Amino acid sequence: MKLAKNEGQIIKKAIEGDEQSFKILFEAYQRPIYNFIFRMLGSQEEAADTTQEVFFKVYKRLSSLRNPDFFSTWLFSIAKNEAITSTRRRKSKNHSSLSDIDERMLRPLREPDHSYEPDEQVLNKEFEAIFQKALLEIPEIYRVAFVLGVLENQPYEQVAKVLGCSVGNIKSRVFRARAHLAKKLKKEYAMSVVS
Amino acid sequence: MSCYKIQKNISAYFDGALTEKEKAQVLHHAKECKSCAGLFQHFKVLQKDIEKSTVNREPPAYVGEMLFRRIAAEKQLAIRPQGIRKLLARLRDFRIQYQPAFRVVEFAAVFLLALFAGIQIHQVWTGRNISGSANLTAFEEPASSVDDFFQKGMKDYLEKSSLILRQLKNEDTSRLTNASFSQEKELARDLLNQSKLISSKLKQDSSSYIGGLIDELEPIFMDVANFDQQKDRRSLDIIRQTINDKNYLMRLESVKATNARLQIRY
Repeated sequence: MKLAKNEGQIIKKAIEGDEQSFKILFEAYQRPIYNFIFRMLGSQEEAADTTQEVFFKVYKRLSSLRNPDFFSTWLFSIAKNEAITSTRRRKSKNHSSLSDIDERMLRPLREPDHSYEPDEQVLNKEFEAIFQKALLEIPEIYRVAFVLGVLENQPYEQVAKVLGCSVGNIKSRVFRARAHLAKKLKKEYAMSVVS
Repeated sequence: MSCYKIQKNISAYFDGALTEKEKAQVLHHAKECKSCAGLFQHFKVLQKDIEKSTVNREPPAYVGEMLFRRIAAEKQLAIRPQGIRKLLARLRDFRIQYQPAFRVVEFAAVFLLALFAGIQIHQVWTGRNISGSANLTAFEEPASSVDDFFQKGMKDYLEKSSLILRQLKNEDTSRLTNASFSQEKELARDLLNQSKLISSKLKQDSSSYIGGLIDELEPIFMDVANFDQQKDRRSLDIIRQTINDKNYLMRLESVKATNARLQIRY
């Protein structure tokens, strides 16, 4: 996510319509945005589509951004809105329920293919699937604060700006998300040990 | 500090979001409070899981490819089209911008078109004017070939009637013989046949005047058709007198002058 020292200048140029600068910004930010959305949705395909949608919106609305210093906050706000919209669209269409995603993610857990991978990698994959499943079960309002503040390692001040609330509120949301996650993980561990 | 505030800070402690003073407060509280100490240990274990899980996935390459292809397409659209395409593009923009109003206009247009089509169908179906009036002038448009044939026959009848009445009016009865009157007799027979046909086809409501005139002329033509020089010399005088009295010639001319189409029964 870190850009060169002249990040401000690049953003300014991009705002003025310089396509090369926009490409640099895309290259710099696509990974954190994709990871954030993936954590929110739990599906690689949907995360890729939503990431594309986020940057397309950024491209169209970039000229309306007045202060280049707020670019990152602004970008994550768009990403957050798109991720939430995708979640709701999925719920309303009901074409891919949470349990479907769990199935896809838990496949390596249920049908492990040990032939090419060392044990540690297999275990990591299994843990990742359990972790993501537990994460998706956290209420959306806590999950978004947790993903941004903890998994994406953003300062609480920036998360507060993205979500439009106070730092105290973010602390509270992250705490609740942690408590939920600890509870869910405990349950999942117990289940995986039994199975 | 309350346990709840400390618990929130325990979470923030692992995110490195606390000041040194706040960190010290958390650690101090955890030493004294068993419940918060338990939570601290719980979150410490969880933190290891979180750190283990913090993967940094690379987005698929097609994200960028698709995005820049989409942007290129958007730019193409942004280039102002010319002529009719320009008009269509403007209409599309206008439609997107004022979608609710546009829907109302579209609905109104469809409604008006349907109403117009309905009126047209109704007119064709009933063969009537929308006002429903049934006067003679309302039938200026031909309804069918049968109707045309009838109107032609009617004109012929009026012409022939005028001709025979004029001849009868000017006839010199003193020199009249059966042979010299044969032409009139023939014509009167034709007119009798025609008048029967016309009377049977005429609709009474629209043509009572003409119908009445035809009915009045029928006995005259009957007399002429059965004229016998020996017996009926006087009756011809009576006929001529009647033609004058009833003013038939003038009445026939006035009917011809209106040039109206008569409504017929099918």
